[in-house]
Amino acid sequence: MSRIENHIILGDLEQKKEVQITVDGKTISAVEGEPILSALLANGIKVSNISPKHHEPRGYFCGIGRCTNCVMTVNGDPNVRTCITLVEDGMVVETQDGLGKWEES
Amino acid sequence: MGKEVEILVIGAGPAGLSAAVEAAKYGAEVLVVDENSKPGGQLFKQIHKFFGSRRHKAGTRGIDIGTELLAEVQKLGVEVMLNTTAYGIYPNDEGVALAVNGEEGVIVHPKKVILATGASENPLAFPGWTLPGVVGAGAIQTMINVHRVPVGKKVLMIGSGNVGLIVSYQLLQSGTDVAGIVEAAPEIGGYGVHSAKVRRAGVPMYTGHTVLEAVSNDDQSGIIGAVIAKVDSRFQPVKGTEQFIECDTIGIAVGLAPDIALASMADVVFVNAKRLGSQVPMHDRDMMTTREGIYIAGDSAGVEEASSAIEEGRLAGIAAAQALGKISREEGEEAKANVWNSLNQLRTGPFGSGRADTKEQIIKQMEEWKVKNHAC
Amino acid sequence: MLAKNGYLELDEIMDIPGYPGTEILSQKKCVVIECRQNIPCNPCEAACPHHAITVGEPITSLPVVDPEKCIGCGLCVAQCPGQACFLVDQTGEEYDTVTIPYEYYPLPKKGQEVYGLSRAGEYLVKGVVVRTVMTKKNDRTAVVEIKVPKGYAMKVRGISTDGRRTATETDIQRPSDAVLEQINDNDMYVCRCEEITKKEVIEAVRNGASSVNEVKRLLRTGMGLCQGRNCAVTIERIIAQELGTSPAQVPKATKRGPVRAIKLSGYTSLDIEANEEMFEHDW
Repeated sequence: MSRIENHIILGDLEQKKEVQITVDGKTISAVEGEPILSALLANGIKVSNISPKHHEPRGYFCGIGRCTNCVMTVNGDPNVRTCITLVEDGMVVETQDGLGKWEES
Repeated sequence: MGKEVEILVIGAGPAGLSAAVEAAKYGAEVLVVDENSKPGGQLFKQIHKFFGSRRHKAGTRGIDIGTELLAEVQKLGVEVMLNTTAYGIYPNDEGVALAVNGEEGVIVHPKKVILATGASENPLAFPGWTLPGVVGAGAIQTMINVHRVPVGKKVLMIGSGNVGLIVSYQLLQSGTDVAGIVEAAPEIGGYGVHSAKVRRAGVPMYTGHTVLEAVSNDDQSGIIGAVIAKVDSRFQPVKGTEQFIECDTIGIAVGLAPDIALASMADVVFVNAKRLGSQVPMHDRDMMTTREGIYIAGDSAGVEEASSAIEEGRLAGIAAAQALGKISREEGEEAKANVWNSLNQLRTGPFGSGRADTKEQIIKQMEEWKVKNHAC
Repeated sequence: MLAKNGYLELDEIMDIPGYPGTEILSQKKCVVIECRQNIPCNPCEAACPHHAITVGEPITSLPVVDPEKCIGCGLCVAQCPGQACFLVDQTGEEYDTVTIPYEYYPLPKKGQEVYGLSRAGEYLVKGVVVRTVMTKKNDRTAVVEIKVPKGYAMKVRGISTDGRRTATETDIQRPSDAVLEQINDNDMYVCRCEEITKKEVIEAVRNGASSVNEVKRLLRTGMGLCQGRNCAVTIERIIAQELGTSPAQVPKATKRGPVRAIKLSGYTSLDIEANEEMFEHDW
């Protein structure tokens, strides 16, 4: 996992509790309290969804919940903004295909 | 029937928190809402030392100014609702609609509203800008400084305003390489001291250049670089000057625009103020908009910087408390005059005086508007 | 030139009041403040316990150095938010020293050999760290004094601990003609969500659309998840260009609630009743 460990201004990275999330079936480690997006980036995952019309990969753009480019399907809910949604242990995250679908309930 | 409150502050950034502190200090009952899970707005990304005078906490890093502001808010017992999006502001008694966690609706009926919604980054469309790896400079700052994850190994920054320069510097501090800073104008937009910091760290500066394309990797899942070119006096790319710059991330820092969606819903009158980032709600010296009881402060009242946002927030907070009768007219006017002195200091010099002039024009137009509309 | 290149040339430094003078600098260790843009800022003034730096009123005045009072302590070096204060010592017989602010990890240690860089980040000469000061008052800006060969104290302004990050002359990489040919502005997306290109927007304008709302009705630009946050400005610009007007003249898109993406339950769970008198209230 790639993190900025040492920083002259911010100091050494604090050890925080780790949680596990699944991304497209693969389990990755995340840090409690961080948004899904930063966990993905720390694990080298940059593609959030595939665009609906031309099927091109898309990734985060604004990072503060405004542009909606980072949406993914999270625990079955499509269009979840991963940049402002915090990770929870056991969360299931999937690369969203197009506009996404609600899971049959 | 919803929540009653004297003052509702929307946005817990530097302007909103400062407004809340002032108003609460004078005994007003204040509720602050913010869509984020943490308060402080963009302050906690600002790990550099601020400019200004001692009064403006110059020499203190933005993160520490944020911590101080939060402590003040806490001490005064101001209620701050986080993860709470103010998604609509409605005339009539319908008030302001909030969504807690994006789903649970709450209606608030405030006597006064202070909009401190900040600004959004301007987009810059160019071929390939939708590829993963092309991101806003603010997003980079959030990732590297708040969440401490690298955004890439080598970043090309587009835009040499203070945001572009500062984020480039912070990328270097995070251990990320900066491939260069591209600026279409012939001159650098931000402070020379900021550019000097990145230049002496070896970052190339491409003034008079524009980005033609973000170059995709094989499966379009990222980028391998950018094509940039010199521009002529009409900002058109000059054929034959194209060059490829290798990078895995492109940061876009081409300015900010006030976030005016709520102000617009509240049907306030806008002024076109290009220097402050496009459309700005018309407001008076009390930061009140053309809607009685709706105030605006900080970047949403015209993009400046955090120190000015703090002062504008204070003005709105004092004015709202005064309008509620929490303080006497004399006390209110004196407090506001103090803040104005400080604010005027920040709006001086070659970088600031243009903002001062624009703000004065906005205020003047507001006075004319008041006369025309028989308000006082 | 500062404005074009982003750093000060020596002649741009020698005529500002932060420069104590060539003669003084040959006689004593003194601060050089490379600040010439009249920004509203004065922490350097308060940082100096010996009152060797004056900004005064207005706060945008350039800092003036009084070399008589400067004792070369370096307190200002850490305090300047612009990192524009440097100490220059050219009095030694064998070498000069220069003291710079430094905010990178890891900090260089005393005795460590470092790469001395110019204002443009070019590698000039090796230097040796004399001291690294990191007090609480410095607030995480280290003050690093380095020994450099004679004549380099007014030239070295940055250091690299590993020599990796320096400005280097590299050959300009020319993209191939094939790459250049396929770059087409008109094919780029304007609206990211609905994937609408510039060409489509231009066509819409040529077909009579003259506002962001009209383009939206024709093309769905701004009707995706982001609700026009990313495309409105670009569309205004394209309309303006096509109609020969300025973007400011182009009618803006209507802003409606919800101004952020929320779930519908954000509406349905509201405890309100429909009210006939909407829009009549004056706030």
